[in-house]
Amino acid sequence: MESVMLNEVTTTLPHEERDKLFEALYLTAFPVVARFVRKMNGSLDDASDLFQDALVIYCEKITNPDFSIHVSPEAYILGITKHLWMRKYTQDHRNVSLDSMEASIMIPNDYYPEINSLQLLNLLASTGKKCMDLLHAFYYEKISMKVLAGRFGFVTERSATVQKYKCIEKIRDTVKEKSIAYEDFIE
Amino acid sequence: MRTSLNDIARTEKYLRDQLPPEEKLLFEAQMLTSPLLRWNVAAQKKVYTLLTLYHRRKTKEQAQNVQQKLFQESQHAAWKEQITQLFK
Repeated sequence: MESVMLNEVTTTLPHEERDKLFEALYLTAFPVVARFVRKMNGSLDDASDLFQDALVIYCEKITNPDFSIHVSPEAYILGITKHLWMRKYTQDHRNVSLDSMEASIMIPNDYYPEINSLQLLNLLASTGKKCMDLLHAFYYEKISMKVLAGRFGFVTERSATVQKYKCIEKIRDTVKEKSIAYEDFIE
Repeated sequence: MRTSLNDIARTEKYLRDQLPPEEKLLFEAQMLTSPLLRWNVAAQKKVYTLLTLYHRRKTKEQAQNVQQKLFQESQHAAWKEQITQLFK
């Protein structure tokens, strides 16, 4: 059972700010990460994939009010990348050397989700896209009900609120329908 | 709002720990006696997990777009060269 809950991510960077952050980090941190991946005999595609995952995790971490780092973002992102490399490509962790700061970095256990979740996510991203986008806008972009109503074409805030709950219900019912057994998502 | 939607709103508050103590106790008591409610709560929890994964997927797409843009911009040609040279 995955442990992620919505309330763990209480703040997110606005889209434009994230763009600026990503751009700056690409210019400074990506060369460092690419050198590491090359050293491990990885490809440019591997480096890009891991770096993008590292940026996602870094964003989650820096928006957590309890989080602080005492090294440069570049060093921290390299540390995240090393962890992701170990998870994704090697069974033998001795291949990657971690200093004490790097060893202390925690990667979310569910970052590479179970197959069941991925299948569900792919299904919902296609057949339930409108609801997923509405809920994403509400919970992650922190868009007010008023703006949300305008964006998704609802006449009133009230009808947007009702639609939000209808969307949760629709996705919940898909989850129930597609889960092989009740035990699938019971801790 | 119809009852099933009110239940969803209440379940959301429960999962986010936003129910007043007495309502939380009542909700947990109802869960003990209702397998359907337990199932619905577990499935709704999974909805939020899926939304987190959806958010990560969108964030990663944003990073991919930034990389694509930087690789195409002439002012970053030296930076791009520095990276691509590594893999030649």
